[in-house]
Amino acid sequence: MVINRGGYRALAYRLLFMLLAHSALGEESPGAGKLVFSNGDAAAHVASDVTMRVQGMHAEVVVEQEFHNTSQRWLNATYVYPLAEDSVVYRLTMQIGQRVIEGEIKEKEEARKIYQQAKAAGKKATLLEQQRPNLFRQQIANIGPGESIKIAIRYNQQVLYDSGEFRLRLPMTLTPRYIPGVTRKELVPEARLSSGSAGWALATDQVWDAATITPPQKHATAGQLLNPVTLDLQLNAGMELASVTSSTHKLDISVPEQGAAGERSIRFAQGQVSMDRDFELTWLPVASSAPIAAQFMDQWRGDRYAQIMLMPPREITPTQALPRELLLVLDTSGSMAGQSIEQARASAQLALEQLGPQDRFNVIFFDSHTRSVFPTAVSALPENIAKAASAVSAMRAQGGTEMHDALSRAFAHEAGEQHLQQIVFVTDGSVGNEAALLKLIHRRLAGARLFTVAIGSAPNRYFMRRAAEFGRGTFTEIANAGQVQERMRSLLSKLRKPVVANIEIDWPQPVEVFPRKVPDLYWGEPLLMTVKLAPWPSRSDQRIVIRGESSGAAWVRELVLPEPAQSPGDVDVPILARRFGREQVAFLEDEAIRLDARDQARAKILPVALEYQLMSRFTSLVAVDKTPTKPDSIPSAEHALVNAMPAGSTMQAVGYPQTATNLYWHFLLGCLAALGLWLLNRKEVTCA
Amino acid sequence: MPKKNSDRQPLPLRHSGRLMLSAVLLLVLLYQWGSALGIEVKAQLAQVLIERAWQQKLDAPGVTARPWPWADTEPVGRLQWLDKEGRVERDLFVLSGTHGEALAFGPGLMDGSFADARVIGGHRDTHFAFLRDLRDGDRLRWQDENGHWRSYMISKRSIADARNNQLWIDPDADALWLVTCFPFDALRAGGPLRYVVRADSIDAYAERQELAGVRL
Repeated sequence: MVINRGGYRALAYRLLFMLLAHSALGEESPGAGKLVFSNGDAAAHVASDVTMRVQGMHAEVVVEQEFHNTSQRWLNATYVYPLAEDSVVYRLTMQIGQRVIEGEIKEKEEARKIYQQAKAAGKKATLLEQQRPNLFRQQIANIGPGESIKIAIRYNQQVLYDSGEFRLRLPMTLTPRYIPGVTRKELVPEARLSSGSAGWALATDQVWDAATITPPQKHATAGQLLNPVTLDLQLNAGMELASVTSSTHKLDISVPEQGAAGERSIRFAQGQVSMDRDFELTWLPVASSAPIAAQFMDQWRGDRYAQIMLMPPREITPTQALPRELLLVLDTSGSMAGQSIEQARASAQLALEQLGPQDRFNVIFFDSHTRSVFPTAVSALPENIAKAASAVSAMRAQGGTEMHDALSRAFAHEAGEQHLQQIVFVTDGSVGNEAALLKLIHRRLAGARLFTVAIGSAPNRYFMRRAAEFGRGTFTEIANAGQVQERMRSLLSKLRKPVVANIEIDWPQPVEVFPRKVPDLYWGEPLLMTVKLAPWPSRSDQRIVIRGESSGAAWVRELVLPEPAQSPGDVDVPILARRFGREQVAFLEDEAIRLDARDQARAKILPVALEYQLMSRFTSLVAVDKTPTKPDSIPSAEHALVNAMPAGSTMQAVGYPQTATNLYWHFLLGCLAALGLWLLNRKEVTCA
Repeated sequence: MPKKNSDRQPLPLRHSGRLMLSAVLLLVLLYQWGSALGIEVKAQLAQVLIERAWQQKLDAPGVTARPWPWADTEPVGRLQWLDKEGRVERDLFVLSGTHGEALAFGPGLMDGSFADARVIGGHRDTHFAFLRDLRDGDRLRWQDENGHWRSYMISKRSIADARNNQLWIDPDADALWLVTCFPFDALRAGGPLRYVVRADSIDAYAERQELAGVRL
């Protein structure tokens, strides 16, 4: 009988089939399980009502969140959510049925201790902690089956005035943060949370608190509201209005009957919407009533607190602008996938179009890797621009967000004496290592200017605004495709030249002012200062003098300080005092980043936060119910509330497969049996 | 040695007890080692069969090629790990699906409507044990059903907690995501941690750079 090679192979395969069929019998242990999605469980949900009162340059915001436990178990809920990056968070109340419990500002560790004790005792309690200036983590302990708890957070937010338009942005969700660095096993216990549900990322050597800034997220599905929110906004602009619009939401805007000019009542047209994109409202004064200067003054414990806004000259005489070296840094990471990358592409094309023949430029793309179109900056010749434009139109979103390398690459460009170096940084800012990046900008900026362009439905505005401040440039935001043209044009006109430079101000002494060093003002930007003045008004000198250089000539303005508003008493901290405290904390945080001393900043920041009763990195809000409601015998489960994915993003989440067998376990048990056998056997030998 | 003398007269009952215990232990040993061997043998041998099915598939793409008649999965790709010199360190045939029935025989490609992203799960103690040796910058190769090879470079390794974590991927990005259980030497299956290796396409970069006329 002749068996050819193929015949042997067939025989061998048949043997293999038999073996496999046989061994498959003993295998189906639970360890070999299947795909498990962790997202299906919606044991609790949250509905929010936002009430905003906008008065001049300030918005007083109350966010009321109703947490409802739809499960049959007792729950501890963890909710990580964004608030405005410049928000002064100062009040929290917890409402259980008809009872309202007032929260208190406490030192962080103390607040944690209070919360933990209440949680362990079965009391209802809430703890609100600041993870980033624009990202907060809230825990609620012991929500009974079917119960609801209402949490109200009150904060104050600054209205932005830019290019003749007033703007207010209310963050609703976050873009999943990219966590750079290496996860190490030894870091895991160190970063373990004191309590609550952990996020989807574990600590890395660069972002040790990754677990607190990465809440679960899912895409809102059509026809179903995810984290529904309502809006009740009363706008009192204080001037006649030409238009009130939102490019992010459809609004229902009405003019109150007995209201003054500039008053509006605003709601979402649909009533309730999903929290899947930031809300942006803009209003434009009629040309004749556009403000040139504004001053506000409060008095608290004898001190005067002021906020002063001043517009630079609107018309500037065109002077010989320096030719520039434009470095476009474009984020092509995975979080930009969807509409964001298209907005970035359109923005970059616009920037390339307006380069002049005397300019130089380069384009840098980054995700997990950084690459540039040209090895160094090149002249803005048509063929070079065409090459860069085709690279921009070919860019796709994928990979990580390694900004450090990208910014380093940009800073490594050496601009000559005759060129002004401008870096335009287009990204959603969705990273967890903000402080390290700001430090890099501070160290490497030298003579360059960094202009940030925030892209997408929910960018990390804290990082983008701070980066522009550290980079001595400006901040621009683009929420959707419709804004690209207008906002980029305004940025590009800013890029030409600061309108006012080298600003100095004569204040009545003693005084504390933020920002400490007045930045150069670009076109359309107001000068905004928050000030604390001497306890006793020095009657002789109630005016301040502002000097600067504009178009090569001296620019001088005088302002007369107003009388402080009558304070209702010293118990409540007036808003301008809180704003001053907040600016001081922000200054100290920035200072700590510059000096690389973030861990030592506590001694300076804590007293300020406690004096003005503010949330900060070192102070938290905690509220505790008096009587325990959960019986000791019943345990409560940890539950993480889900945030919506930003609208327009195409990132997807997948569950993790079960990827281990009990190989080692079987082997170990076999070894134990072998050991037992050997022991028995040995005994027998000695006995024999 | 009186003690020893007393021990010299073993009670028949104890004797048989010891025998019984030995027998039980032997059974346990055989069962446990048998199971372990079964997992290992199955994992290794199945790859041989899957390779055959893969060759059939490459010859006639679009035809279902089951590695064995009753298999509820089929090969969908070939994954290779190359060392610095370009030698193939590991050569694996990837099955469709990340359910237990597929993973026992080979790494599984996660079902899902992802355009270019591929999520591949594998057992940390068999096929994907080599993930612990991967380093940033190592290269992977992926062969698709049309026989085309694509090269990937490892860009990130991380540990995730599957209890409260999902893997966020951009479905349009040409990237490989290798997922296995962590820690690699845990005794029991079913732990919450996952080791995730991401590799980004080198071709895509080259392609993009070429489009843009840029040197890498």
